[in-house]
Amino acid sequence: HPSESPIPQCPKPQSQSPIPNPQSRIPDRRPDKRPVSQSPNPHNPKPQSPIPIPNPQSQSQIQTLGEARVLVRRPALELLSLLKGSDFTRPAVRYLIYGERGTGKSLSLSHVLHGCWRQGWLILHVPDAHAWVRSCRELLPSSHRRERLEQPLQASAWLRAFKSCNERFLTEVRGLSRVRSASDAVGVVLRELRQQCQRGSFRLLVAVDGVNALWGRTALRRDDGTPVRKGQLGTGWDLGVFCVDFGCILAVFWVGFGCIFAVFWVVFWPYPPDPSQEGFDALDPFVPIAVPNYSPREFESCYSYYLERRWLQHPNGQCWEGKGGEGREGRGGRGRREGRGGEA
Amino acid sequence: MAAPSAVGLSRRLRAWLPRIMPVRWSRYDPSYLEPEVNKELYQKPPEKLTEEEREQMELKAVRPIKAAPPTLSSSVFSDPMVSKFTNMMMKNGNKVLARSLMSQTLEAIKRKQLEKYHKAPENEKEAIECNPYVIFHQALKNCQPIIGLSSITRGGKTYQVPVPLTDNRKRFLAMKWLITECRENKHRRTMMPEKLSQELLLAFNNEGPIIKKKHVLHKMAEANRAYAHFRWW
Repeated sequence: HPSESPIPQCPKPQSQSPIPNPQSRIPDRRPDKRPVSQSPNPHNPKPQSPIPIPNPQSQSQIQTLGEARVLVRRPALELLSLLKGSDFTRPAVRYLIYGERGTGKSLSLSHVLHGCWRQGWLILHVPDAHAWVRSCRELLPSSHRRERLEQPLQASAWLRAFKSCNERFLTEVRGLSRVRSASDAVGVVLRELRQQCQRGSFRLLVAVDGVNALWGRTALRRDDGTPVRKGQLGTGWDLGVFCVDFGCILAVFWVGFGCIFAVFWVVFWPYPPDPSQEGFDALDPFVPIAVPNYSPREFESCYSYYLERRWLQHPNGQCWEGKGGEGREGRGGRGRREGRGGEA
Repeated sequence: MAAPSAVGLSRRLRAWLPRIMPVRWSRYDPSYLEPEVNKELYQKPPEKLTEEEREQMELKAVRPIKAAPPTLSSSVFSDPMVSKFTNMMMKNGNKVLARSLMSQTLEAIKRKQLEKYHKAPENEKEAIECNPYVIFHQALKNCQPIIGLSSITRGGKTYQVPVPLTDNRKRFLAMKWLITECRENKHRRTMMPEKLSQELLLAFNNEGPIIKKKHVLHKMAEANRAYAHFRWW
């Protein structure tokens, strides 16, 4: 149940948003694995989903088992129903997915993104905000603003991903003028999107995986060794408090400019939680959505899926002890890790 | 191949003169019993135990029991061969690293086989073995030599004499060859689990450099058949 797992030391109270209570109304659905087809099925050709898979572990699982399956869980279902029922005349609502490490926040995000993509929304997806603030190979000084740094490699990669995700919209989104560098292109794209969303031609979904990276310290350094502070990263990264542009976007949304789209932010919120006050200020008010560990039913479902796909090979893996025995029942354990740690 | 070691000698002496020759570094009195780790035995109700098991249980009430070594596990997934192999892979006492390498190797084997399995047509699926433990055991079995060579000096000259091997020696040689091969003949940037899984899969199919080494050893033993009478044990 979402309200049962609290964030310790959370300084802000729950927001008073005009959304109905998220804990009600969701019927108790049996968690089952529904296929999210990654490769085209010859019998029923569906378009391939361009949503990137969050972590390399999931990618290797998909490659080994030959198909991409997602366990339908309560947080993802809640989010989908909330987004479906959201009122677009109101200012954008922000949702925050939080939970302990390894409980499935990124995968829930991918699930929701895929659902929205299927319904025809335009997706603005940042797969990993942490990757932007760390280990950047090329950091160039910005062309038209001093004291700002650009990351052309990551900017171009993001643009390519954006294009593959939203190809059907690119004819509608007009006015991408010629830009000299990728980071500027990103800035232009964001500005265009902002303008066109207000006209209401499509629904936009903004998803950031690892939003707390945007308000933390960056691990980047300039050539002379001085560290880069938050406010100085790239014109293209108009997210969070980095650049004035997106600060404007946030302000615009919240002031109630008549935008007809929903925005939601997703956070990878590690435990202990990121104590950054600026992050809370910028994101607030938001609707928190908790992602707990697997319940016993979810664990059974996941386990039977692995048995069916022959991932669990050891003959002792099917007995009570093989599944984790007392330890699992004591902790209410984690499905994926139990299946892996006990046996190869 | 060494001459009959002190262990074999001491074991034979011990059987002949009990309580005189200690085995290796063990300082336990012979009255001490080995620890019983099998959980199922304890969960059986007393009526279902056989004669021997009942005697064993009665002895336990009277005799002292040795301390269980840290490698002895009551887990359903523990395998003595895998533990032995992990110990041989270990360097400088870094058991954590060795164990993680071992589990990554088994996982790599499983992943490769599962990919093959899921891509294969229906009639070939039965033939593909996906259980990494089965593959590991079979590969080691395939790598074990039947006959070994021992250096014996006669009249100033050293001869390579063909000699039968004990089970322990065979297992040891198979594991040693596997590990040495994976350590020496790989590219600098290849990870150990990847290389090991590759070699194990080759050995499972009776191919690869270790099987070749075994065949070379057999051929040399065959060639030196004439010196077999130099063996006195």
